[in-house]
Amino acid sequence: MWDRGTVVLSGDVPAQIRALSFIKFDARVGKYRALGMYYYRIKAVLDSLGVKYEDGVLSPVCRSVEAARRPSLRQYQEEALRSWLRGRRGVVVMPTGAGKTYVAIEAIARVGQPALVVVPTIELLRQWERRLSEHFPGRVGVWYGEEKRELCITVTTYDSAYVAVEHLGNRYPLLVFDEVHHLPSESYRQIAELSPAPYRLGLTATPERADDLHMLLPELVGPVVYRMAVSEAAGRYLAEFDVEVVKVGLSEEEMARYKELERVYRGYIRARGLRFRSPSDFGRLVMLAGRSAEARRALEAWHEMRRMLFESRSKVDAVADILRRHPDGKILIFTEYTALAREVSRRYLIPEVTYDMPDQERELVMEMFRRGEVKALVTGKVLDEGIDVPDVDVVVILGGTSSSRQYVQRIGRALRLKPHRAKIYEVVTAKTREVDISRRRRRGVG
Amino acid sequence: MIPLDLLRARRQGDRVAPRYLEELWPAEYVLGAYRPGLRLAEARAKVDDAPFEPKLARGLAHIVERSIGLEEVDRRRLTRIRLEVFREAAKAHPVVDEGERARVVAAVASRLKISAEEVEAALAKIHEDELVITRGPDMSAEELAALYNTSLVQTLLFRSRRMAAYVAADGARVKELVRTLKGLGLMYVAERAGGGIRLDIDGPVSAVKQTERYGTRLAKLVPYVISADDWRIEADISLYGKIYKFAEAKSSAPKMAHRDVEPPQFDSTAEEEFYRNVSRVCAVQREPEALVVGNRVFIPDFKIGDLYVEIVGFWTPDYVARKYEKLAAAKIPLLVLVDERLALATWRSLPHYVVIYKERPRLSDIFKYIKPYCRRA
Repeated sequence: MWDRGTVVLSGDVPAQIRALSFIKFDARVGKYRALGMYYYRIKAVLDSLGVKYEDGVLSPVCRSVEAARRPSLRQYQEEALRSWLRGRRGVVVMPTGAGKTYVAIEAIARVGQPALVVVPTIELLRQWERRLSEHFPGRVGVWYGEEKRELCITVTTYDSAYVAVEHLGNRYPLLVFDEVHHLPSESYRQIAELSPAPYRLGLTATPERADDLHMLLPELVGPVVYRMAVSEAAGRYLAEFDVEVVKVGLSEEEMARYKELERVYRGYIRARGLRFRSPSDFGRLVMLAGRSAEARRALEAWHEMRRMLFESRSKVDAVADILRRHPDGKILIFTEYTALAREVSRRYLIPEVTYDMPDQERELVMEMFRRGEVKALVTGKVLDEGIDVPDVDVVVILGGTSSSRQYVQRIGRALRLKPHRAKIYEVVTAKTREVDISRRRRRGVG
Repeated sequence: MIPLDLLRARRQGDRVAPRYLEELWPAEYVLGAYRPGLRLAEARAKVDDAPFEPKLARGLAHIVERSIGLEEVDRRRLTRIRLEVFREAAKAHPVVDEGERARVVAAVASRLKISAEEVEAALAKIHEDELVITRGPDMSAEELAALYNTSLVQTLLFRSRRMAAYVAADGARVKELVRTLKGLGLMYVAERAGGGIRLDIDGPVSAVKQTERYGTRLAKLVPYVISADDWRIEADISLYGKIYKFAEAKSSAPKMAHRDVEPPQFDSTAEEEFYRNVSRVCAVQREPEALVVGNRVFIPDFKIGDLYVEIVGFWTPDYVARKYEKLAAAKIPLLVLVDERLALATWRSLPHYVVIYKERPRLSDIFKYIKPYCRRA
């Protein structure tokens, strides 16, 4: 039986099943229980024992799913799909722009059973809904915040799925995770753990996580069954690109404040002998800040330095030059903080796409940008992942973390195949740690 | 409830406790920041400048902002004006100097027959923090502090894996608590403790995996628990990769924000009529104290003297089956009134007085059972 994320076994449970490490006796109800994800393994053991049993776990939302129109796959997409179909579990790694969605659509069509598609943002949810509807008209529902419409193929967000898996889990034999590198985090991983879906497909450009949690993916979704690197895609299926670093300065006053903050921060780090090699080292500082006022001051200094770099006035000024240099190109501008996006929008009358905006305006603006009615967009983190903004010629990065995943995804936007080379600007503040951040993030890409 | 990143808690050894707000002046300061006439951004700037811990200021502000009124804007209209501006600017792309910007704004203003100021206002007011506060917070500093302290307990529980709640309260309150926890998809095991009952609460997955996924739901139970006559909460809290014990009780907690429990509604017209008829002749208590049967909470519908009365209406088979099991295990003087549409034979075998009724229980049929327990109303 299915019980809100778990499988419950009633009646005479064979000793071989009771001996499985993931089966526990639940004294509250006097029955055996396991996480949803072990459903298939329990079933396999029962079948091999030849035991008769009644299986009430899956209760699919529709009997079968048929595509009205099949996508025509490129050769490498076909190869990725074939590899996944062997076990109907696993992760497909492809750069942004290489058409991962089509691999998933064809996978759903071949499996022919209800699928739950999990994506990181509402923008992506809308995009998947649109794409899926072209191939499965009238069969695509969405499940998030205000709109809960369950159909044969339902698109949901990681946040909604985390909660809804208790009710929806057993209704979809196939799970598709877009940007699957999100899945291993402490809470999101429960979507995979609590679901009894036997078939699972993960999609991403970069499965690796700085915290090494991607090691969990084989158990949650399956092994990497296909991998294509950015460098392989560039020039063949995607556009080539140039990167130009634009250095801007802080005002004298800003620089003085920056140096002061840097003194506080560095002083503490040195006194404590802390070293930062990975994001988890930084977690130590956050932890120390919970205990000592000194560490707290160091952390606050770090945050203010970061804000100064990402919001500095001269960055807004630098945008003017870049806009002037590309009067005809489509331009996408990224910022770390929405305050900077707001300022760029106000100054240059460019639409902003951030979480502050009503959904309706965001959708209309994206539509206008696609049609070419507006030539530039400024955005915070909303568009970090996979959103389809075709034909961008110029990407401007006004600030971001040193994580190379974010970088790959941002440039991915500019990488759609086109006759000319795409251009990427990175605006960094001279004589600050940002120069270093920028160097770190370009390492290992392209 | 306030966001987890605004939680203020003190860890000591293996214990964790909220850092409650004990003085009133920080609450007064934050209430004062949200003056009508200010833009929300201005009020927030005052909160940021508060002469005390930023986390405390922002936590209080979070609660206050739920009770204020903001100027109303038609966001669709703002979006229409904004899109008009973006389109106009795209025609002149790129708009990089002040003069050109002013020309675009003026062109849109004249086309829409509004002033340039209105266009600028539309550009700004799409952002919530540009809106003007029209109604200040309607609460005292004491109330805000009580709400804040309650929120701290709830927010701490976001990270809880399980919670034990001891409550001593009338049946109506306990019933509401149990009903709410079931509605949230949680599970419990009950036992008698002192003058009340103790509920161990977690969820289905808890049996196979330690998880914080029920934390936000456990937090929602807090108002129900702390409105009991006496209460105690114990929980395991996962913070910074460690498990801490949290315990709080009515006797040690600061003043909390109570929840008023509505007078109990009758579950059915049969119950309502029974109450009306019987209360004319005997003293009847509705939803008496909660009992524990097996490890479940059982709150009979009525109590007459020492006799409990339960009315079993025509309900879903699943519900009726569970009720039957509970009643079969109850070792108390009990009168069970059963709707005749339910399968009769098994009900008669219950170790209690059983009366079958048609449509509604009649006083003439049941008076002989209640007579020995009946005291004049």
